[in-house]
Amino acid sequence: MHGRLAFALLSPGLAVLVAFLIVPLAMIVVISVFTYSPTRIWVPLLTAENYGKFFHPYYLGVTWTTVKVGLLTTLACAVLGYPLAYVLARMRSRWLGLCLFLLVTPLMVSSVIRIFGWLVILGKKGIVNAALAAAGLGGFDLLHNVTAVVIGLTELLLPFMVLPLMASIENIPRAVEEAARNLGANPFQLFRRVLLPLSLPGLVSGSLLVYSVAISALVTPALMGGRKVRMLGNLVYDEVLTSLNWPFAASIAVVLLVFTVAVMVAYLRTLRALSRRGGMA
Amino acid sequence: MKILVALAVLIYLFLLAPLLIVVAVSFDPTDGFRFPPPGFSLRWYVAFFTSETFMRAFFRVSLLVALTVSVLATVIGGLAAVGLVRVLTRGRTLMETLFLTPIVVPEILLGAALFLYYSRLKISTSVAGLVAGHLLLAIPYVVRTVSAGLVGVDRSLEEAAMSLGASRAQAFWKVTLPLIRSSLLSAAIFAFIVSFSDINIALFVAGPESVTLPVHVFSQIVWQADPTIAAASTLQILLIAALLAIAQHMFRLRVAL
Amino acid sequence: MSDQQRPTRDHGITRRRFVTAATSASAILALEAGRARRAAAEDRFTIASTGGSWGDGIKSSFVTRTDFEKRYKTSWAHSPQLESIAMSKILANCGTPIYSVSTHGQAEATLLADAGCIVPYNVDLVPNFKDVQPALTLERPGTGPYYGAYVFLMWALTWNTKLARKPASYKDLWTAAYKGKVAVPAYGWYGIYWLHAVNKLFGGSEDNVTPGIQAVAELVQKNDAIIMENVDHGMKLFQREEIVMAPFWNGRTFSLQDGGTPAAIEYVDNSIALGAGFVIVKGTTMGEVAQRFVNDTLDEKYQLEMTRLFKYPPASRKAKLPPDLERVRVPDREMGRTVKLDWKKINDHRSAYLDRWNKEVLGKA
Repeated sequence: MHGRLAFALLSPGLAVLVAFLIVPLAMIVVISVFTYSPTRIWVPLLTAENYGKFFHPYYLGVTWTTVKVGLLTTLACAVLGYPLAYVLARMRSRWLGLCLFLLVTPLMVSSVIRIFGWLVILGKKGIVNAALAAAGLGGFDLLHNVTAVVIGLTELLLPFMVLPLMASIENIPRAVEEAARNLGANPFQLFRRVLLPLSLPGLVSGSLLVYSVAISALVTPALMGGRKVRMLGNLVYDEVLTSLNWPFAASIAVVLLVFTVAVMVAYLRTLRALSRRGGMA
Repeated sequence: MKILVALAVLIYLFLLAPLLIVVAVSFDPTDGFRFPPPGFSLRWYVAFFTSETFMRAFFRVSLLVALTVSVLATVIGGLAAVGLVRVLTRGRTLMETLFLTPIVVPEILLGAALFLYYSRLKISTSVAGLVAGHLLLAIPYVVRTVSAGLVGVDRSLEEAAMSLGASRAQAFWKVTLPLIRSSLLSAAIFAFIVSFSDINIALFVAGPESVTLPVHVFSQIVWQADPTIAAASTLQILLIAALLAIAQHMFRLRVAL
Repeated sequence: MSDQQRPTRDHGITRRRFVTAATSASAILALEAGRARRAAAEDRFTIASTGGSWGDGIKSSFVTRTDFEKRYKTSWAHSPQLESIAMSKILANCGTPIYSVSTHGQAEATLLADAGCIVPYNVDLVPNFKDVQPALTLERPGTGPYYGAYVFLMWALTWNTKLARKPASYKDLWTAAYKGKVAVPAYGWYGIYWLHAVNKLFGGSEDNVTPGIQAVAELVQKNDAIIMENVDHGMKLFQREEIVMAPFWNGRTFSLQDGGTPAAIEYVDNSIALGAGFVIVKGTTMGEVAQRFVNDTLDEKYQLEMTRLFKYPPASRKAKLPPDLERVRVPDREMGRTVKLDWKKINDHRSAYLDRWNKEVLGKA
């Protein structure tokens, strides 16, 4: 009975996935083993060449940069997002709606125009450098490195961490916090022993969302990272639109997918084991 | 607590600084993208409002598609989240990962694959195809957000309701659902934004009748650059804010505790 | 909650999903192998071009001002998208198009012609073809012309007159004094063509791109050149004085000037004479209208509206520019300095050279 209920609840979502994801994904996998053709995009001749091409230090290096940026962005979002989520979760004021709205505004505008704002702030002739120049320093290239990309992505993806985390923290009764305080816990103990374990689901969801979106980033690494911070999204974009080498692009996508799914499954399994030990449902 | 609030304010400044610059630049009377702007002019706003292309893309395509996607994704994804968290235990990790897969596939390739798929099936590119593509992107966010909220809700509350005579569905509807209101609202907002700001799927899937605002903004960047896109971005923020304020009023969704 | 009932059901879901995926995968394989064709072509005269204000300009210049609907008695639609995406869509649906006409540069038009997805111009219906700048036309021996541009997009060298010295050639970009203050176009933008232009400057050819790759690699790695992703990026870099010199468009340089940036364009050796022109998609049911539409785009009086809007000179040699737009004209003398590129070879090497660009230009520290 429960199995049937589960199926009923999951079936609309599964239907969308099967109809619009599984088949295109199958197409991507199939194209990844076809041969590239400059005028026909691909010809249906099976080959392992596309995957072979991927295993070169440059492309593997780009993969590593992608994972690195993904992890660092997730970490930054967790560190900055937790205090924000806590403040918002415990906020009773009617400004909460506005605060939430402001949080998602960077997502609403085109990344290109948003990054122009960062160019004004971090550019060589930007605000930060101008302030440094007043102190006798300045002229630093603050863009075109991993930190800049992480900053740009964190600004964009913070709500994906904060909102699920906030929902989790809201479910922790204040009485529990007060009880802990009354028993003499200091803020760090309160966080480590009470808040963190109980808000783990929010942290997990937030991390998964931030990481998944961060690794497929395109515009932010291109404009804020430059050539030194190329990510897999940039590679795929160029291959699809410029060289029309969809087979190679497809092989990159398959590698990315397999790798990320493996990471996610491991992450989810580990956290489920941890939360079960912590006594949670 | 005060330290946390101060920290929160700083973080908000970090988030909004680039956008404040964009808003400022949208009033630059020249197309020099000067910051601080040398004057004040509404010419780019006028350019936006008088451009039938931009207005149509904003109101008749992007907004409509995003609203549809938001509603559909929240319902479909919400149901899936309930199934995942409350009913399924075997194969849960597999399902959770499956529901996250769409956002891991590079969007431009997903868009290309969807285009090929639609043309093989002889479906013409239209608003429906765009909605389907955006649903694919939005559902993962909804599932993750609602799951996070659901996991924290105490099941004993539902069980208490059932022991008082309510059916399982009634207990869920009357007890649990109100408690995950803020998760559902967040999920709906995410779905809306994901659809509204999508560019890569729309690039391939949009047809003449279904060109979204981001496609026009992106086209603008490819051939020229004038602050119309700064004005468009500011308007996007204002208009969506207005929509959300109305929605919050209509559904009297107080997110406070 | 009974544990006995659930496992079968979940396995049922899993098995069913696997079967669905397997069947769809085999279906796709079969479809790809057979290249299934669509039955219906486009239902209205459909013009594909970039969107935004460029698309608006095309509509106003070549549809509104030409009284298109009255003269051809047919409805029309505009399909805005990136040119490269329009090209891939035409290739993917070769023979049963979703557009009637589509605008592209010379390289993309050549690719479409080589793929057999476009039809040639009928010179009887397109008499204005003979007035187009020869560098901005394409013809096939045997079948005749298939491409004529309506605007002249000159890719040369833009520089900041206050912060840099007037350049004598592209090679000025390598000047050590400009370290970190120059930019090069991304391969995926116009870098692919600029690479070939520079390559020829350093003695290479379309089949031997090593001199160009090595030179650009040095520029990017030793002189810290920024990679420009698109027009907007380039303009912002110039406006914010982040760069003082870069290969760039003529029309956009004039826009920079109008916006107050002290920029100027120098038509150096191996500048690239690029164009935007309409190709007629094979299989269109509105072939005659398409030919006449193309003829309108090659008419100098309609081209002037595009020039007025976007500051790119018209491609027709008959065009007479009003005094306030005289500055956008490319002097004949400079036309001789443009580089001749073999578009077919550039297309053939697209993927291979992207690979080299990634590894050798972008890759090393």
